Amino acid sequence: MDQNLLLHRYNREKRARQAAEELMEKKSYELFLAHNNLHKHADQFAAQSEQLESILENAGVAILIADGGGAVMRFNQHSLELFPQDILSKGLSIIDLFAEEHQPTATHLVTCGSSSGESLDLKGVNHAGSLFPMEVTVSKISLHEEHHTIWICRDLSQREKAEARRRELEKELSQAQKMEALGTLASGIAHEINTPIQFVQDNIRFLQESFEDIVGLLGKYRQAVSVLEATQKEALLSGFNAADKEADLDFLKEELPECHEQSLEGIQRIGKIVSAIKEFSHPGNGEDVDIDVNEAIKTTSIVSHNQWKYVADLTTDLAPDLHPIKGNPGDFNQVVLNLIVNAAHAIEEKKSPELGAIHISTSATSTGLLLEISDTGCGIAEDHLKRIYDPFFTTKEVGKGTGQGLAITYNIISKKLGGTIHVETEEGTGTTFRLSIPTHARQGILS
Amino acid sequence: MKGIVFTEFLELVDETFSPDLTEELILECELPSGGAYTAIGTYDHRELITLVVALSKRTEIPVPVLVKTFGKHLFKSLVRSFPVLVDAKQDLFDFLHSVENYIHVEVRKLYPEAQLPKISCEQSNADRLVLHYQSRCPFAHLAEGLIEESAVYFKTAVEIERRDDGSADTAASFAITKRV
Repeated sequence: MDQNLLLHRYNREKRARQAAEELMEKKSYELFLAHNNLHKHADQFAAQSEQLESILENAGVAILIADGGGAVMRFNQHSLELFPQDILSKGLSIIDLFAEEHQPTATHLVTCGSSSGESLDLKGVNHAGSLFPMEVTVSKISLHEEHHTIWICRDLSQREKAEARRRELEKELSQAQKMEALGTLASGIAHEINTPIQFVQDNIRFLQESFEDIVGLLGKYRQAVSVLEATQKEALLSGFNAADKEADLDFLKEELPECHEQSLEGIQRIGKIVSAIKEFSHPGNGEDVDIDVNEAIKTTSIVSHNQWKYVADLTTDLAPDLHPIKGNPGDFNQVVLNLIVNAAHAIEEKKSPELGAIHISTSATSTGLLLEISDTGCGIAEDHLKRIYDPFFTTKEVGKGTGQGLAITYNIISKKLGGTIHVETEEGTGTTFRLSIPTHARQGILS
Repeated sequence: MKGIVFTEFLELVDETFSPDLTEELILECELPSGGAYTAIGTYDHRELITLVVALSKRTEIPVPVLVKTFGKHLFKSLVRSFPVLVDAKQDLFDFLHSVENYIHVEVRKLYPEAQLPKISCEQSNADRLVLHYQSRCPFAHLAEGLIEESAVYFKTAVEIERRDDGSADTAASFAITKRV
């Protein structure tokens, strides 16, 4: 090779080597940085993985992964607390974790998962072999290009117990509210009973004294008969006349039947009040029963008589052909009582010199019945109207209202009886509450 | 263009003609890089064109023939340098599919700045495949040489029918049919 060309090649190769070394250096540094980055990402990935693992293991629900055939591949700690260990650790079918009646559903879930993350209430088998309620969500995933399912199972036993306890507490609260209402009404009821007792007591005392007089007169008559032939006729006649005057038979003849009748009426009135209280305060057994709405209105009117009789006349117009509604009688009585007491308070607040009026009517509708309670009270101010069903909202003076009445009424009518409540009011003129409640037959259709 | 193409070209001139000719070409072409190529560097593709044209003048061999011949040489070098990218158990057509889907993907990982031609394959049946080549560089003949040598490597007898999709050798289609 020509010497100059050889020298040229030598220099060229030398420059190429230098350029290669520089590039190698640069690449090495890039590799070093990439390596560091990779390390950092690997650490982050490991931390995330640990975090996810920790979440999975400490989740308060059982989380399981099953393969396309339903065999358990992986499960978290909580799964071991719920399900039989042998099924999980041996990788047996997830379907065996379900009650026999729900195994066809579980089989379907193995293939399809639950549609759009929907939860299903199914029964599982625990490690003791007993059944327990659970909420199950199954998601379909693809792992290594194969179909798998993720199962999230939540034990509902505690929730169901809590729900039962809540229902029990609700029942107790409802009864306590009734007792509270009765407590409020107690002095009025005592007064209601006291009035007939007073006159029945007076009548009995009158009967006792009259009986003593009659016994005295009868003694004289007997004496007269025994000594009719005797000589002291004058003295006897004088004593006889005196006893007759004392007994005042004509007066007794007139008064005694009325006294009997009045006493009987008084006792009947007491009996009616007592049975109304009994009816009103009956706790029920917590189950919904047929409620005769008209009868409930009559009962509650009696129990609350003392609340309204000084301020209003209460009239009723009750349709005789109503179907019963289904619910808790105590709840319904509470509604009627709240509305009557509110009406009486509204009339009292109006401070009219004349007696106000409370009118209660019932009528049948195509869907059930309509109950209307109207009063001629002070009405409700417009800015208060939207808040009347709020708990603890009251415009009454301290000690007269707790603001619970209409909140409870709304809750019972709309949530428990499936009805609606509307109010129509004019300030200074009065208020009408219209309660539309589906009757028994209609409630059956709705449920 | 990656430096390996330049170093392989100079090696081909060394082997086929003479090292003297190689150095004379470099001196004659007054290349911006001075011809100090390294396989891992990146250089302007026009330098290669200048070298090929100069070689053609010196040897009186047409440029397309030289470029195609270089393509064949380059394939063998690439297989020797990067055996991991070529699975010898593959079929020729599988390999051609893998050029864009695998080899170019891997090259971009190593050299993100690499400007690679766009290759797409249409295979109507087991024996016929049409490979479309498109590049900013006029090296369709280089592609043809690479294809021909790959057929040799995979021991597949083929007929290649070339159709130019442009006038500047930047785009062409190769209909490859296996001979029975």
